[in-house]
Amino acid sequence: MITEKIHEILKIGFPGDDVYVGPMRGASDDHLEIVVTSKKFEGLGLLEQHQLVMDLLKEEFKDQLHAVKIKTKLA
Amino acid sequence: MSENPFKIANPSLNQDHVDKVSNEIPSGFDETDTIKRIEKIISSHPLVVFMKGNSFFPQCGFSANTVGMLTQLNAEFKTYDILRDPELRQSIKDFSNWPTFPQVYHNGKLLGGNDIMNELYQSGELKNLLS
Repeated sequence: MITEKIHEILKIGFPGDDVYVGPMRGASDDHLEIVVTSKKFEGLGLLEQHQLVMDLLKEEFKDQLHAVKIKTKLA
Repeated sequence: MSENPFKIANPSLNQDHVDKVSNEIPSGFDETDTIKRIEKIISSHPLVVFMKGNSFFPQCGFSANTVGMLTQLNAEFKTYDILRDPELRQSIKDFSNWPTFPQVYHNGKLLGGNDIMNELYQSGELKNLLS
């Protein structure tokens, strides 16, 4: 399933970090909510933080993934 | 800060934040030309929203939400309907390093997508930024 796949991709991109991937409330399966808590975000602006996450999902957006809601937190 | 009044009740009703590679793109289009157009658009106004549809008829819940927040703040902005421009729609994803819409440009720089706009709106930063 797409949720597991995205989780796996983010876990590889953010090794050892806290990664949550779940369905977006009231939306179809290809809409996901993502929360990543990482030290990698330190010193980065909001845009750069989100870009780190988005970058990993680029290929998925071409195919199975339609929309994500991203929340980044500093570990 | 209070709850964002423009939260999308049901984003699945708004199919078109979907951004699959469209097959509408004619092969062999000149990408440098499209990049030039993007640069021209983002420098033409301090606040530009690349979105699906326009302020009056947004074609996607996320685009609608972003435009709603900007309207709420009385911001002056320009919108660009990427649904009407498949070439630009494709190129700007690479240009911005951002795969979805809306994309908000402020003073020629990418400010973010809808999630970032939500965070900036709720923290009050967006208001400061635009005033």
